Amino acid sequence: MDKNKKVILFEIILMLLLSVITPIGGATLFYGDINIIDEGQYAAWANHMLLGKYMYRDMYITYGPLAVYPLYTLFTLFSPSAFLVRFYLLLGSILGVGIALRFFYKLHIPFYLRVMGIVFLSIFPVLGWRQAMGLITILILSSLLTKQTVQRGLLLGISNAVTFLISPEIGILLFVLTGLVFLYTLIGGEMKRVFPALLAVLLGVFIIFLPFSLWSMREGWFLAYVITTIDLFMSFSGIGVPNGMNFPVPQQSTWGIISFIFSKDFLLYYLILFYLATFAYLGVRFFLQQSREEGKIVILLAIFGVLLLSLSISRPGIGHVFFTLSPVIILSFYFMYVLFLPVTHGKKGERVVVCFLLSILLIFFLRILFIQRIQIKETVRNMWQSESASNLERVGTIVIRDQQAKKILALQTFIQRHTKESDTIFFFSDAPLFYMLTNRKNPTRFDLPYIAITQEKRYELYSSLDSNTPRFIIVDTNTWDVDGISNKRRLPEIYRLIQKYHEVAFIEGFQVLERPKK
Amino acid sequence: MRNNILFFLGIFVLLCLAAFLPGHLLPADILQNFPSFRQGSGEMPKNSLLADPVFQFEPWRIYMKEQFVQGMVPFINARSGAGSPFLANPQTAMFYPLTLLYYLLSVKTALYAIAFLKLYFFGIFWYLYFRSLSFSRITSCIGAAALTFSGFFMVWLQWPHTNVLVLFPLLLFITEKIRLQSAFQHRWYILLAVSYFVAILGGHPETLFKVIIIHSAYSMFRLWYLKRALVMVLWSIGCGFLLGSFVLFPFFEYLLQSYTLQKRSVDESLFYLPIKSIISNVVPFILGAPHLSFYKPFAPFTNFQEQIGGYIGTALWLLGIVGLYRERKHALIRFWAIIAFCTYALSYNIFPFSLLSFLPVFNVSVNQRFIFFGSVGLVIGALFVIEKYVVAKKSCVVLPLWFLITILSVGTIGIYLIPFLVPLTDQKTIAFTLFLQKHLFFLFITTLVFFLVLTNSFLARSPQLRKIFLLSVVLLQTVFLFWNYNPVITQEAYYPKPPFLKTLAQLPQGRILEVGNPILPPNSNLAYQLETIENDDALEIRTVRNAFDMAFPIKNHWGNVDEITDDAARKFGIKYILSDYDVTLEKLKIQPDLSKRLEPLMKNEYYLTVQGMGSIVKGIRILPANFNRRNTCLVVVTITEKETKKEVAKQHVSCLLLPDTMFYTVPFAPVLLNRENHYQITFSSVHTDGSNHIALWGNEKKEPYGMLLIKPDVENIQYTKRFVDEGVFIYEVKESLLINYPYTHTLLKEMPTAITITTQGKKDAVLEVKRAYFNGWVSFIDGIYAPIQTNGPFMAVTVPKGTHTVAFQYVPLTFFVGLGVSFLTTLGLLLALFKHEQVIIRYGMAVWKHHAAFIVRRTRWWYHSVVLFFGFIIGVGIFMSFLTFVPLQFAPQETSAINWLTIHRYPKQQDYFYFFLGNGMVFLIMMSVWSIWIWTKIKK
Repeated sequence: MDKNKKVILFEIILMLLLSVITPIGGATLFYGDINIIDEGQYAAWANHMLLGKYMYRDMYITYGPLAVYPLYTLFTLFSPSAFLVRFYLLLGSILGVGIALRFFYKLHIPFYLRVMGIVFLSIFPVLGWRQAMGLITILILSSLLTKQTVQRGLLLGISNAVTFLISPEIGILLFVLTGLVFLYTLIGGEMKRVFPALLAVLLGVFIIFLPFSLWSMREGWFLAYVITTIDLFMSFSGIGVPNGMNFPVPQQSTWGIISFIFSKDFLLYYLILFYLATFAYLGVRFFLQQSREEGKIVILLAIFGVLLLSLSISRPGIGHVFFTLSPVIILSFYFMYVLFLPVTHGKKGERVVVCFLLSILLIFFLRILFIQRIQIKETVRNMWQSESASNLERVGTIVIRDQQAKKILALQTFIQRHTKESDTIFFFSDAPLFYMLTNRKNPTRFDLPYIAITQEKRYELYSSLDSNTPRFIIVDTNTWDVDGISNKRRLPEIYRLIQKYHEVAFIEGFQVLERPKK
Repeated sequence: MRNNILFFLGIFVLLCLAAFLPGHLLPADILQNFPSFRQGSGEMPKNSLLADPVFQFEPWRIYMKEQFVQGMVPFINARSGAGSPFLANPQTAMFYPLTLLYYLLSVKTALYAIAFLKLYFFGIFWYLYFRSLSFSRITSCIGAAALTFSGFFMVWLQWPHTNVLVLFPLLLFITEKIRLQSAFQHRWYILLAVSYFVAILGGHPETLFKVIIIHSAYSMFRLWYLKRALVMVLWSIGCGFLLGSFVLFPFFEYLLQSYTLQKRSVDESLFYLPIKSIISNVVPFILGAPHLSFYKPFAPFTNFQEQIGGYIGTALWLLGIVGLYRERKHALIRFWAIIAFCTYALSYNIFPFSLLSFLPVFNVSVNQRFIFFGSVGLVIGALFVIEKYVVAKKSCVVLPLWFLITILSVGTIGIYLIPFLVPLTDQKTIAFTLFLQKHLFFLFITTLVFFLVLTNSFLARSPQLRKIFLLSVVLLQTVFLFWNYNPVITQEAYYPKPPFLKTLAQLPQGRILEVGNPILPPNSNLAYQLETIENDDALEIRTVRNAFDMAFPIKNHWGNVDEITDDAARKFGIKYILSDYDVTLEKLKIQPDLSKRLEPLMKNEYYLTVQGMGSIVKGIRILPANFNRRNTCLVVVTITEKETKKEVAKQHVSCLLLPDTMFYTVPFAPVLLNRENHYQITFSSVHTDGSNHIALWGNEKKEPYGMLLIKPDVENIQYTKRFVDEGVFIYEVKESLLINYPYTHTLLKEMPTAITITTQGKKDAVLEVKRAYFNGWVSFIDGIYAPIQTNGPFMAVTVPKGTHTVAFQYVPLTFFVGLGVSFLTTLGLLLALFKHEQVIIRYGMAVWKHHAAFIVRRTRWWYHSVVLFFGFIIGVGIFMSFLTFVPLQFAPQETSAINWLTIHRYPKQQDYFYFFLGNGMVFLIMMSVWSIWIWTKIKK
């Protein structure tokens, strides 16, 4: 085996080893509490499919169908468990890191920076199925930018369509980017080459969309999918769902401004500054006729990153900024590589500027690390302090804290004792995980009730609860409120309806409500 | 480079000027013409002709801004005509570049900025065109000044006509550039397409039609021997239209369904200028002007705005005629002479050009506005003379000029002689004669100076001085005469809120119908966030209008509903009635005809006779005429028994309260008119004189219009009085609903483009929403498509029994299809531009490569970083300053959602705006600073 192959093998092994400690929703593959919302939503959707529900028609899914269907397949092949959900999400993450590694090679990043990059990308929750598919498409797009062939076009079309079916918003961004790339190649390239490649892209999209449409039409959820997807786009513009964090502003004092620069809130501005610097760098190199070979990849990643960042504006919390970090991290390592050269060979003035720029990058990475410190600490603590898996039904081989285990056990026992398999239950708090853990159906489309915020959706939820009365309505009193707004406030009509129910039990923080008999 | 800097500096200066000038450049004081707004002040507006900017364009802009700051595209105007298409109405000029200023700047600044920039661009484009014809700089300035401040452009400055017309000189300039190009350059064709696109966005299809006719003729004339170029010009025009598809498609859809198209093509006669009004081109204020003390139109169906369309300054107009005649050997002059002749003949309806009005489009457009293009021809004729004699340093001794000067002199002397020849007794006539004397004297003197400068051999040695003189005269004869035509008003006069509007604002929202006088002028409801059933967007949905006319057949001379029934009011979901009289009283029309203005009430009296029917009279409704002035006389209305001459009631009314052609109800303490008797109502006036009197409108028999308002036997309980003040009544209609459904229902969401209702019906039933149906509205029951029943003007859908959610959604398909076409055309044009201009790009790159290599060789890379960093600091500073000086307004979106945004009342779209604008702006500034730095390095 030659040296290069050995290095690649080492990197892959490192990546796979790190995947064990890769945080998925704040935990690792084997250790850590199950994330009731992030992991829970996938678990609930796939489990509901096992129970006979159809995507979109019977469930309001906020991602593309291909984000859920593979998990459903895994559930069918094995049995449903939280471990399987975590494993499925981890696969997306590994794929993402693998693609990032490919980018590192394409950008000629040296070994030591590649290793650092793999570690960094693995320990931060920045890559999943959605980002991984986006990066794959960018990779194909960059190859198409160099040479327009029918094969590459076809691959790009397929990749674009699959990405769209996993994540509509990233899919749309990539379609826009593809359009821009083709416009560029049409201007600069030969029509004879570009046009067949363009047709091949369309063909690739068609190859994926046609069977998908036929399949979804046959199962009767195609229209529901289209309507939900459009609704999601509208929602992301801030009309429908509880999103929105304005640009943070510092306090009007010197100390306020200084502390603001090092605060979590400033992270958004770091990203903006980073992209401005990237575009300025590319602009200067272009004008000075100094464009590098890898410049095309850099510009594609930068455009993709900016578009991705614009998506995060409509989402709350720092978690969604992480959602957009992957292009920044890849590009950061590229710039480190570009900047390290002058440090070793440059003059004094040059070194000062380089050190300044590298310091900014360092502060940025340290800031992210600081934000993630609790999760990292928790992960390490889980690994060293936990002894064995909980052996809870449908949890799988995950070691969770006793507190969560007790909670799950109590709820599972109660539901199994007091309900039949055909009964439905409804969680008024955002706790979709428990639908899978208790193996009960939701009488409504909304496994995450907070999504039903518009009056029409609230009314739909109300009608569903009114006409298909659930056996129990359960309120998790310890749940996290999305956007800091409780569902009592967010869903007043449903809350009024629930008030007509009476409490039959209060177990481990779960308030169990039942409709009074007429 | 220097010219570009000057061009942008000009824009900057004008924007600064707009920001610092006081008041609002909007004739909103015209609202004073309405008794409901006058509040007893009796003040007259500064220009009574400028109605549309206040009653259409400004309210539309207010509505657009309101919708945009909420992050919505105003597809539908939910506040007029039960929901009428809004984006489809081109006159809103929603996407016109200058209108965008209105969304960004404060209203005060934007109004000035739009007007100033329109004039600025028009002037610059004319200048460019004249320069492309090889005229010298000052000659081009003279021509540009004459056309920029011409009668047509000044009087229509606040209309969308000028939005379109401003592009006309640019089109001519581009055509000249195409003609003169040595190699085939695509950029001029693309610029031509973009110019047409902007003209389309300008929002006046009629003016666009005229521009196309003249520009096409010009292109054919100039490019006849360059066949490929000519074909490409036609392609470019087509591309311009394709670019504008997203506004044109919805417009055509609306036009085909409009009431206006039906009305115009059926019964509207076309408008032409009376031939005698041709004198307005030489003496613009021959019958006064609306912004001055005196004004009278030449004919009933035309006005100052129309008749002044050909004015470009007396001197230049006269010189233009001479120029077109003397320089007739020049091909371009021949073309413009033909254009001038044809357009004048068409405008003044001269046979056989009048036959053109039988052609399609000509038969539905106002052809007299072609006159402007005739004036362009005259200006060019004049410029040829100026250029020939002044630049060539010749003295211009031309017989026709002296002939014209003589005529002008005789005319001026003649007007001075009138008081001596004809003894004038009437104060008004004397005053007008004095006014005309001054006006003529001014024109005579300035024209004389103009011709003297032009013909004087002494000045021939200093052509620059000569041209500056000529330019001054042109400016005096245009700017000076029209400088206050578009008045500036105070903040208080900008859509003031009289008491009735304050009351309406406090009442629950509801649809309003105006009865009798115009109380709330058309579209001004948009400025006050009120909804009216009337729609005055110049198009109107045909089905709605026809149904409205059937429900309310009795209209008055204003076109307003004059009488109502309870059923009709409920059918149209009318919640409030705005009326000039008490609608709960019974009406008895004694004499309904109001076709003739009777002789002024001075020494004479007018009578009406009525038989008493045992009724109690509470008022008499009359229609006065006040000759557009403040009259202080008194009108006496007396009711007497006809046989015994016994006076039953008498009322004095101050003439100040009697507005022009507005109904007025003379109030009476309840007067019982016995059934057996006949009564005579007498109208007389006291304290009158020649310039202080009023008249009444009536019939040929000299009987005034009169309507008795009688106390009904049974009190009308359908209307509840909410407000009464001088001449304004507000009534609330009982049980008038916007949703008609026999069972329980709840309105969940009501937005201009979406309505959601939940129903709980015991049986299948029709749900009617009193919003106008128009193509694009679709309905869903529980998310499943359900066809809308379109047998009436409103939307209805049959809802099955049980609990359902019914959603009506407006999906403007034509807009989206148009948007797709526009997008593809844009891509195509960009592609063409870059593909075909590659030679230039490559050449530029080759030149640049040399400089780039030099910079790379001589400059360390980290210097770039430092410069870019400074650029970034400057960019952030400028962006922050921009946000401070131009405070952007965003409103939270209309949504039924309860989320972070609605709880914190935070407008989401603000973030997107800051993100893209902020980043874009800072990046551009960074790169500009770097470019300047690079430039200085190269120069060194």
